[in-house]
Amino acid sequence: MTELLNTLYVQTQGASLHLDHDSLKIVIPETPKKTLPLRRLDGIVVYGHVSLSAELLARCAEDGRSVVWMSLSGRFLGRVDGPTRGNVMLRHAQHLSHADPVLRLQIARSCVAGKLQNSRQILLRGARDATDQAQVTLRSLAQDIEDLLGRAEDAGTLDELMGLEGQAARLYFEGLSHMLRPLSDIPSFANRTRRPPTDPVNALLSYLYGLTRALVHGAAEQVGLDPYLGFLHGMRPGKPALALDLMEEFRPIHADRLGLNLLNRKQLRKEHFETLPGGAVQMTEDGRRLVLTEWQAWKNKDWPHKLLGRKVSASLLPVVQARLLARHIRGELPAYIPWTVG
Amino acid sequence: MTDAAPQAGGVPLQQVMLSALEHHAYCPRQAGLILLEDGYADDASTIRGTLMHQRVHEPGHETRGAVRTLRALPVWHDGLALVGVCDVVEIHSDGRVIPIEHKSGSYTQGGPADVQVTGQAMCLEAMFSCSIPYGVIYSAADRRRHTVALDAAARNRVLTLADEVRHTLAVATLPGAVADQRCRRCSMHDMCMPRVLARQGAITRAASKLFTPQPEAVWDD
Ligand code: SF4
Repeated sequence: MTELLNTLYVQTQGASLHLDHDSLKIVIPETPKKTLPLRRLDGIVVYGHVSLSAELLARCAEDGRSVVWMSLSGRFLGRVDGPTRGNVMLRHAQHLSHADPVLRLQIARSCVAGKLQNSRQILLRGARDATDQAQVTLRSLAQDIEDLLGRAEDAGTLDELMGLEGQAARLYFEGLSHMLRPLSDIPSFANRTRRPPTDPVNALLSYLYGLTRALVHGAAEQVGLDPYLGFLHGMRPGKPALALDLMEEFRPIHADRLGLNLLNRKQLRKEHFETLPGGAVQMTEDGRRLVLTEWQAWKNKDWPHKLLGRKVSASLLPVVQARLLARHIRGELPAYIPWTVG
Repeated sequence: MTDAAPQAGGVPLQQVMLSALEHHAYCPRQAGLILLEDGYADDASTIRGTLMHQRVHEPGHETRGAVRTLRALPVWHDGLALVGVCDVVEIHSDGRVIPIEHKSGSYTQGGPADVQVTGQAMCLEAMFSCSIPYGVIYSAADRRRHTVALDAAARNRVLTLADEVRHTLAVATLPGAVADQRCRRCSMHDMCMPRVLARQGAITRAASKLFTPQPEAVWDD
């Protein structure tokens, strides 16, 4: 159980949370009960087998305090947020933009551009810290991503754009494997696998993507955008496509860079991962606790935002970007400009 | 705001909240964001306001000597299609009816709060068939009562603002950002983005450079 920045993360398996007047009561078998004033909390995130009482859920919905369920491996499962906010004009405009092929492709291109720009920066940054052959490889991968970035500008269809994005992702993950220092006792990884991850690096990335996704999803909701209606990722039942669109520009810094640091600084080690029968790999409870603590510190870090002309914490960047997107969708800004590092 | 009051001519007039008049008087875009985008932003000042209103807004009444005090009183004016809630209404034994609006901040004469108390008085006059020569704004910051004269100019301002708010609702387009010193104290600031809106050229330039590799970034982490 970790309480950080008004968000309570509960990952002790078997814990249950209850409403006790204006407080949250945490019951963990064979441990003294704890209570926290609800007022102090903006959100509750639970991992795996943690139960919440109906009264507590109702109260959180009423107060607009989000409750997020994540799987133990950090996959986003669902959230409760209270009533949908009434921004019907914005949602309507979002549907109209989605239905307009030109606007839709333009926004999708911005999302891909943001992802490729930031991926490229991670590779260049990795190259600075690398030596010899790895440095050469990383710079050449960054160059390949530059070429794809240029081609994304001319992509005439969403399929073409998605194809370029997929190629860039393969190059980028190849780069990540060169950025993991061999000193670490964690095996390097070959490529990105998910559902379920079968090596520690992928298990960590999945977990960090889950955290990033919950953050971006919350930002879209907060601004009044429909998280399920995307531009790049389209519209598919049960898939928060807009949250995924907005997440693209944040993956490299919010998740990948943090993950690399944790591994390269040997904060995360072999004992923080466990292999389940059959081969799936997940983080141990200690591992997740460590990542969550680092994640909170990482979210507090300020990054320059060029359009705003000031610094914004990583935790608020998705909200700022969701607002910029909303202003573009409502016709007040000529384009959607993704957040790029640097 | 969804109901429409019938008007003499037969065309229903869109009902307007007195609080919307106040927001519109502060900045038309602020009212637009609240009405059209259901925006509501809890910054320190609105939270302070809410806490204070919670105290004021325990509905009820008390009688002390010659004054009866009503709290959280719903008011409306069918003819003008206005609706709102008074923080406090004093009914004096001599027949005087005085709306008292509570503000957490300091008072500005002729400011948006005047509009709200004037609108309240216009509703109360219709409801109680009386005439109200002045209203009161109580400022918690100054700890003072400020008297607002309800003259023809103040009343006309209410009607003009109500029409402007109806226009915003009808066209469903956000009014432009004022982007001046008002923005600094505005609770909608984060949602509104007045500075970014004022820099359309910067957005167009950034859009044209989206696919050009950016200079190598250096950061500490
Ligand atoms: S930030 Fe400025 S322009 Fe925007 S609503 Fe507030 S006062 Fe109006």
